[in-house]
Formats: sequence, C-alpha cells, structure tokens
Amino acid sequence: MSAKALCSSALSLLLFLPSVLAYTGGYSVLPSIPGGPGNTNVDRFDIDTTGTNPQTISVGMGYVEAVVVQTSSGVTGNLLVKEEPTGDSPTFSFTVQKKIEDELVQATVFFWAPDTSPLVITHQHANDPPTQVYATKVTPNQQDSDGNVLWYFTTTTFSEFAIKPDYREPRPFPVAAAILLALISLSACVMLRRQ
Amino acid sequence: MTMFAQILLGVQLLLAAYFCFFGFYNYFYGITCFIKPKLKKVEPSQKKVAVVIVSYNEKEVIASTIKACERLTYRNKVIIVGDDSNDDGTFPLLKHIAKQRKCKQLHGTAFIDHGRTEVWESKDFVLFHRHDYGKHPYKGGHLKELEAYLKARGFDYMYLLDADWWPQHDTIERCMEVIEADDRLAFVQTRKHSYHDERSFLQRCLAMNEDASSVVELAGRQAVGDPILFGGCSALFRLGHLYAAEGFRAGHLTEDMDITNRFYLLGYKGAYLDSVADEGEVPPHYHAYRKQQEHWAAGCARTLRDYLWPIIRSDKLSWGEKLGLLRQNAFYTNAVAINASIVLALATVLFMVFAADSFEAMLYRYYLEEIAMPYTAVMFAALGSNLVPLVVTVLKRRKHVNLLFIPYAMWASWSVLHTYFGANVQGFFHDRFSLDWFHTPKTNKQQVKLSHKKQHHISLLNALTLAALLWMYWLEWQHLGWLDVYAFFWVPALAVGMFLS
Repeated sequence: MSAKALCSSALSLLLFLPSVLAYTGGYSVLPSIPGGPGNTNVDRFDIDTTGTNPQTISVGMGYVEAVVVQTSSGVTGNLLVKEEPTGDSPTFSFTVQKKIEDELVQATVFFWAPDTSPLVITHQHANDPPTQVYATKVTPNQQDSDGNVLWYFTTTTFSEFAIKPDYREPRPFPVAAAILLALISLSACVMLRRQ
Repeated sequence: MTMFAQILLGVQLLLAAYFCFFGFYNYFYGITCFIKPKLKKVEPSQKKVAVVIVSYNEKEVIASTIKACERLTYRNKVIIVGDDSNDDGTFPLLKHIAKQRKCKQLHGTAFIDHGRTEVWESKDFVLFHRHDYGKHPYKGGHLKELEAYLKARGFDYMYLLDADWWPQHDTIERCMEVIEADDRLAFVQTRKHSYHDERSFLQRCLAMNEDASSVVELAGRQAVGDPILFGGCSALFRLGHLYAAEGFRAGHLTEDMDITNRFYLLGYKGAYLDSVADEGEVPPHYHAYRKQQEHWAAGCARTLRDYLWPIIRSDKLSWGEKLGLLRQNAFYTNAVAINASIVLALATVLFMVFAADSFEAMLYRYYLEEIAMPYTAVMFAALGSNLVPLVVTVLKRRKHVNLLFIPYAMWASWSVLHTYFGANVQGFFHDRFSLDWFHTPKTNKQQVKLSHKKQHHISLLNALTLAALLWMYWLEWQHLGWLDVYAFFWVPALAVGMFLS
C-alpha cells in the first residue's frame, strides 16, 4: 500500500511549541513536609479587586490555604494555583494574567507546613536565581489534623511572564518563510503533474 | 471550569497516541526489514498451477502480460485469463488470442452460467469471460466464480496476477519451495517491484511509496512473524486453504485484505518472498492515483469494520498478530484522525488567540508547558516515522538520487487526505459502494494516451483547507510567535491536491 506518509502526523499542527510558555513563580518549603503531596493539584480562582482591595481568596487546597491580593487599582482576572510534589515537600506556584502582575502591589500567601522554625521559602522567579524568604507563623497558632500549622509570607510578584506576546507590535511578515513555502509548493505541483 | 483545557489536551494526547501507534510500526519494520528471514524450503513438486490473470478493460496491456506469463519456466501450468471487460476491444482481443492458442469454447459444463459466462479452453490457455458480472462484481466476484472452474479442473495452486503485472520467470518454483514446506501457509506473496518511467516524477514518487510497502513493510513483517498482507496480485495460493476460507468475496473493493483476514482468523498464514520480484507499473497520472487510493481506502475501512471484533476475539491469533492485522486494516483511518486533528488544531489556535486571557486558555498552556518536551519529541518522532520507510527503501534499493524525491513522495500521499476521508466514510457506512469497478490505467511501458476528468469538488475542498491552515499559521506567527514548521508539510500537499485533483 502506498501513502506511508499519512501514517501518524497532523496533530503535528500543534507541535511546534514555543520555548517559553506561561511561566509561574514557584515556592518550595524548607524543611520538608513529611507525606507531602503525592499528586499535582491545580485549581483556579477569580481575582476581583474592583470591590474589595486587598481581596482575600480562599484556596483551601492541600497546602495553600489562602492568598490575599492587593493591586494598585481594581482589576479582574484569574489566579491559577498549582501544588506539586518536590521530593517530600510541596511546591506552590501561581499563574496570573499579565495585567494582574502589572498591577500587583503585594500578595500574601497562607499555607500549611510543620511547626518548625525557621521555615524558609525558596522563591524561584522566572529564570532568576532562587531567593529565600522566611515564612511567619500565624498567631494565634492554627493547626490542622495532620499537625501542620498555618504560615504566611509576602511577595511583590507572582512572576514575570508573558502569557501572550506583545501583540501591540505586529510581527513582521515572515518573507523568507513565505517565499520558501511558495517555491516548494510550486515545485510540488509542477513535478507531480508531469506525466 | 477547568475541564475544558483538560478535555482539549486529552483529545490531543489520544490522537497523538493513535499516530504513535502507526509511527511505531514504521520504525519497527524499518529496522526489522534488514533481518534476513528464515523461510523453510523444500524441493518443489510439479503440481498443477493455474496462472490467473484478472482483466477488466485492459486491452493495452493484457497481451504483453500473457506473453510474460508464457515465459514462466514452471511446466505444469495453465494460463487463465479471467476477464470482465465491457469495452470495445478487450474481449475480442482475448478471444483472438485464445483462438491462436487453439482454444475451444466449452458448452454444458456446471461452471458455465449460459448466456453470461463464456469459457474458451485449451491445454495451456483458458479464457474465462463474464459478459455480465451481475451480483458478483469486482475482481473478488470474478475470482469467486472462477473457483468453480479451478476446482473442477483439479488445480492445486493458483498464481494470481493483475493484467499489468509481469512475473519473474521462475516465480512459481520459488514460491512453491516455500509454500510446500509449511502446511499452514495459504499463500506466498512475492515482491511487487514498481516500474516507472524515469522521466515521470509523479510515477517515481508513487513507485517509492509502493516499493516501501514491500521492501520495508512486508520484509519487516516476515522477519518478525507478523501477518503478511496479500497485496492483490503476484502471490501463489494453496487452493485447498482458499476453498476452506470460502474463497474471495464478491463485491469487495479490497478483496486482498478481506481474504488475508479470513486466512489468519482460520489459523493459516502467509509468507513474503523478497527475493522474487514481479514487475508492474504505478498509476501514470495523478487522477488515476487518487482513484486507486480511494478504492483502497474504502475497502480497508470496510475490512476494518467487518473484522475488528473477530480479530480481537480470535483465539487463533497472538496479540502481536492481532495488532499487526488491526494496524493494516486501520491504515487509512489515519486520514480521519488527521482531519480531526486539523479541525482541533484550528479551534485550539483560535481559542488561544482570541480568548488568551481566559483561564481555560491559561490553564491549557500551563498543561502544555508541563509536557512540552516529551510531547514535542514524541510528535516529531511520529512525523519522522513517515520518512523511515522511504529512506530505508532508497538505501536498500541503492537508488540514492531518490532521497531528493522523498518530500515529493510525502506530499503526493498527503495530497489525497480528503479522498481518504470520504472513502473511509463510504467504507464504514455503505455496504453498497457507490464506487464502480475501477482499474488503474496502466501502459506497460507503451505510449498510451490517457484521459481523465477533473474532480472540482475535491479541488475546492483542498483549497478551503489550505486557506484555513494558512490563516491558522498566520495567527500562530502573529499572536503566539510560533513559526509552525508543519506548514512546510501541509501547504505543498494541499496545493497539489487543489491543482491536480
């Protein structure tokens, strides 16, 4: 049979992935949390600081309990929270739209972790070197059924990322690629037409 | 809310798995075809062999094929032309050839349907002509009726040829060495060497694709014991096993795949003999190629529908054999999956461009980032699998200039995407095919003028698809910053489909 060339392919249309997709800032917790998450959890939440600013978002996932978002002006959008295992510890990461990131004044993240001071948070921001911040225990102490207590830390950036490239500046027409495409298409039609 | 992104990605991964299943076999047979197969052989007997040439309106080539068969060195053979022609010239020509060979017309025997069937017979040559194929259309129908004659005349084996295939002079002896060494063998398929005019780039590309199915696919299958597909002609059949499998089926567009499935379901096997090559010509122009592929795809779809569950439930087949058969039967369903992926891709890009700030788009890209590396690697590997059979064929045949034609061979195959899609629908859902018996016009190296009719609806469909994809590529570039390399595969293919259909 002919048509081997058909075998497989055209999901192909989606394959050329860009080198940078939506990046999220990541936070890992030290010391490790025994019995950290076995699976990756992802959920989304609405951000709306047009009414109440700062806005408290109740997350209630495995480790992240809440996020308080304060913006310089009222904005609406989404917050994507992801918890994933990194060794014995969870890593938290947050994804927001660029407009939220641009308006962000401060975010406070509340999360459950062991009652072991000091609790160090490693913040991996885009491709920057990781930095460390100290988490603060919420007072009075709050403890969950696993014996973890509630902590918080603050950040001024979720991350610098571009969900969407800056389309306000149109990309130049890819002339070379278009000419090449036209030439090979023409050659295919001419060569396969000949009898 | 988060389900949309998950469903979208899930469907894409399912399609990816589907493509990878086929891609895996391309790599696998691309490697195993280099292994020398171990075929048991015995000294061939001198049992009676019918060399059957099936003909339908093939006056241009039938005489030369008969002469080629007469040059076969096996002695105990009878050349039988099974003819269904209804044009002006073929049957009179065949009757003339029969009379030259001192054939007498038969009357009053059980296998003659008087008024419909006409048989001329001599010691070495038989003309079995049907004036009207009635309820037994196509090649399968003819062979079904011919079985009664073969049974009555006590033939043990049948070497089957299409009207445009020339056998290697010792092909019967070589096949009998193999088939008589193993009682389970129902047929031995020889290598189909595709002749092409050196000046025709189209034929060169089609020949590369055709040769790949023998040189790589069948050779690879034989080496690892996977099911061998009877390729429609150039095969020696053990008639006892053919009768046990109830013979060829009338009205089937791919009677070769149909009988292959039934053989394997009964526990019989096929063998592939790479060292013996019959020679035939690939379609001489694009229209003939497209029609040929349409019939093959429709027949395959019907075979898949008919044999899917019997194969899965069979206790005579190993899982390797089951997968091999299913993969062969489902081969052309790739076109359905590809069309689905084109629609999905278009929808996805539109979604990512025009709803980029939505959470669903964000989450989708988030997931995509997570699997970007392995996903891209797997899908490029699947795409690359298309090249493997062609590259291996070029290397094995030592015709290195053909490396330059590999992209054109791929574009030629991909250009009939929509034809495959429509044929799949027909094969799955229509028992009574709207397709008529179509023979691929051949010239057997002669200068023959061939006419064809343009298929404007196919051209239009290709044009619309091309326009949609160009728009999508532009959106990807402008809004997402992607330079989609698949444009270099699809744009030429669809342009060929648009201008040449």
